[in-house]
Amino acid sequence: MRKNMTIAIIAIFAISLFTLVFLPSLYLISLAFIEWKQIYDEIFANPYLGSTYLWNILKTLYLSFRLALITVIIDVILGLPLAYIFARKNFRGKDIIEDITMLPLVIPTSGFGFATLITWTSSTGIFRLLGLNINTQTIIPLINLPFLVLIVHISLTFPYIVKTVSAALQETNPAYDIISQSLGASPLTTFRKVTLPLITPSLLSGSVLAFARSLGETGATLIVAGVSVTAPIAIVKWELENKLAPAAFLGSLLIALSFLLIIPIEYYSSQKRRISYSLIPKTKEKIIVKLEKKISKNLWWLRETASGLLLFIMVILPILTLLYTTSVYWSSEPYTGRFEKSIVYELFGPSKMINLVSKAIVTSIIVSSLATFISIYISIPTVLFIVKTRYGEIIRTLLKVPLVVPTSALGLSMILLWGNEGFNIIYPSIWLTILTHVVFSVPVIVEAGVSAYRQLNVELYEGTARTLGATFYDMIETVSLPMIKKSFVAGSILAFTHSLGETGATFLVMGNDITISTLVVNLVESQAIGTALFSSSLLIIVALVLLGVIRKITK
Amino acid sequence: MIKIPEIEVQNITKIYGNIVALNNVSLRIRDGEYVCIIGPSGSGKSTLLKIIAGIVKPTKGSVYIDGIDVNNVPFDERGIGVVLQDILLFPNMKVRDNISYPPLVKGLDYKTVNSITSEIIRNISLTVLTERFPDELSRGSQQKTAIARAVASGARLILMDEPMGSLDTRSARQLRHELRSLIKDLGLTAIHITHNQEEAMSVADRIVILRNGKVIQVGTPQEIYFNPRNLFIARFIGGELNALEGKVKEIIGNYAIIEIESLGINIKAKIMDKINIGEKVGIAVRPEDILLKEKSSGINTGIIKSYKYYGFYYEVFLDVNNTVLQIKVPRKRWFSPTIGEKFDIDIIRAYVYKYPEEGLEKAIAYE
Repeated sequence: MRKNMTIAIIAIFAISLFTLVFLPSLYLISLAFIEWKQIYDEIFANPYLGSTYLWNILKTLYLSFRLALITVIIDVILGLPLAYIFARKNFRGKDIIEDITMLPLVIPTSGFGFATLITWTSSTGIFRLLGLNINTQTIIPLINLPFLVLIVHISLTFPYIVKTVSAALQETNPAYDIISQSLGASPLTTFRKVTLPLITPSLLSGSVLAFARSLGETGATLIVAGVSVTAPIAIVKWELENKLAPAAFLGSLLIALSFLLIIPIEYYSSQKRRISYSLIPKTKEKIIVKLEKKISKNLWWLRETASGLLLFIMVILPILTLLYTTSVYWSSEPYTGRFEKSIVYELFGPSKMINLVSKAIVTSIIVSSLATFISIYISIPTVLFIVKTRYGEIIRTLLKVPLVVPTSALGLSMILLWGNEGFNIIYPSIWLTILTHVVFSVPVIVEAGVSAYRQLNVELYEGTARTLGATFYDMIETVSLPMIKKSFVAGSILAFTHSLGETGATFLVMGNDITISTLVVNLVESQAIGTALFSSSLLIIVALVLLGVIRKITK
Repeated sequence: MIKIPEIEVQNITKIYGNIVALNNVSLRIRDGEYVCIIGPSGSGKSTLLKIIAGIVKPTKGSVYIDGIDVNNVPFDERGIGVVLQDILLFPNMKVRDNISYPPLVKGLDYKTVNSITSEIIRNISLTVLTERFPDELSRGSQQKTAIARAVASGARLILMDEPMGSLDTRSARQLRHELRSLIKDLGLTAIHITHNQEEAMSVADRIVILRNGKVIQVGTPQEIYFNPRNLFIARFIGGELNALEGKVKEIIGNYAIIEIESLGINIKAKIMDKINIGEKVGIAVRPEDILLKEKSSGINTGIIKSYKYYGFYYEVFLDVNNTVLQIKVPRKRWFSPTIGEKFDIDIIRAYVYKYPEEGLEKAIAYE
């Protein structure tokens, strides 16, 4: 009797995990196979357009992959020194600087995108003052990428590199550095020949995360992209124009390609093997070593300065500029001083934007709370399943899938799965938004729980509890769950902030129930700058507060 | 002829915050010597090693290598090889690449690097292991490789901090002799830090004992064992000690007749401090310096309270007039102790010191 109950519970849990989390990420790809005929007719042999769609798809994919690749390369170059400082140096205010570095991971991306936009292009931003004339059309020569998009992508992804690499550096023995130096190597040589090989696995998995994030980034990109169309933006546009076939095909290509790229790297870096490579042929070492010695001796200040500048320009400056601009525009326009152009007038004047904003805020709160709530309920048994069973690691790996699937592709997948083309149960609305957010919230919470479980050696205490006579359920209730509670809560808050800031998927699935972060995009596009400033500042302040709460809990 | 450096440490003091790690330490290490620095944890031995290596700067005092003050010479230019407890071979490089690392990173050209490396590999007979990674080596081979790597950097002085690490006793015993012969064969000077007195006794040419940041005795193992300068050293070198209180009855040359009231006996002890007749003194008697007599005659008799069996000897706790003495008794045909059995004792060697101000207990504490 009791055994049947257990099996039933496990079955319900497994089915809900599968349908709510895994299925949406994979549905789009299978759809491309199932509906191949229709896709072929529309994209490859369209009677009216020929292969225009195909060319557009390839063009956006080419742009997105190039963008992601160059973003990651710059992330690594700029992020490594910062990671090194965090891992090896101690100074006052290090905590705060580390927090600032992680801000782009919690701030709603559309708000951050808007902050970057006004920093570089508006009259209240510093670069206009410096005489730099940059706008959304500015293209970087040589690599041929839109400048602002690249900047935003770097801001939003470099924390992944810093986070994973500094964690790995903390685990390597700093005495290697001393030994290497005592053997005559300069700091730079030591880094290249000793430290870098040791942290390569983490560097790779950090790069994979950064790459996936850049590939799927929608919210900020929509705001700064101008006329450039990246793959996730193309999906959003086509879906909104009801061109489902090319959107679905592009989405599944995006998912498939990111898998093809990410899985081998993840597999390689998860192998516990020695990574031994040499970047330079031994016969050429002499020249490089001498160069490194010179750089180490004369340019040592570059590391600190570059890291500081990176943080300032990429993170601090946009936030400050946004808050500053909001305060300047609050009750008057900076040039004319007219009240009619101020934020207060836009919000409370005849256009009554405040109604739109407050409705979006309420929607967002409902979405984020419910999505997080549902995710917590799915996550608790998932964590137990992962740590307690043999097949747990497979689930853990599978749960990385929703994290690398570009969110706009995910949104499309949700519509096709649940809407009238699929199960025909839920249509774009607040409810579909909640279900969509569950897909990427569960992995975040589960990962927090599992890593706390492993780090705190909960298994050891569980064993003790069992030897003292506790049943399995006693043990879960009195030992396992209480021990990982803090990290679980922190993971949940992180999921909440993700949900609050999510734009790419939400755009497609929200129907008429606009959330606050998508509203920012709409406001910018419709030139309601005052309201956009207000909403972005609000989002960033909320994210900062939540980050503070996470800090307090995990301390 | 390769010049082997002579190291001189002069009046080194190191203060961390308000903790004095080293207090006015002076030391001279000769060419080709194998010196062990030994002391309880917190005695400052690692700090001293780091100062000689140049990893840490002293608060006061100087280090001289071949008569040159090296205080301002950075540690990568001192020609010193450091082998730490974790050995720290670069895990991503094969044995050969570990050894060729120092000449490579100094910017020598490829041919020179290769010939230096090959020569060292041949000298240290690592030829069969060159293509292995460090984690595929035994601890002994790892250490050999670490020394080879240090030699490749041009080091003629090797500093080793607890090189046996957490090795089990049996392997550590074998390894430390291999290590010593390697260093002697290569004609290197070595400073070896350990907390294990047995290890130090068995490999060192000379031993330096540190306690609370001060050098308290320097000498060959025999010198220190037979002339411990204070009660603490008498206990630290040798392991265990019976510390007793007594009164000087008579002085004959280097020896004194001491009355030990608690045992009710008089003994002859070697004078280690300046003492006067009638003065209260501290006496050190090692457990191996007390003999049990086969037949009890009723004089100097004690009763066995408890004993432990160690195979080749017994450790016996003998109650003599309510004072318990610890005695090591080698296995003998006639001796199979039972609790309550009576034996006479004979103290064959003892040392007498001024009575310590802090009391006997504290004077011999390891802290």
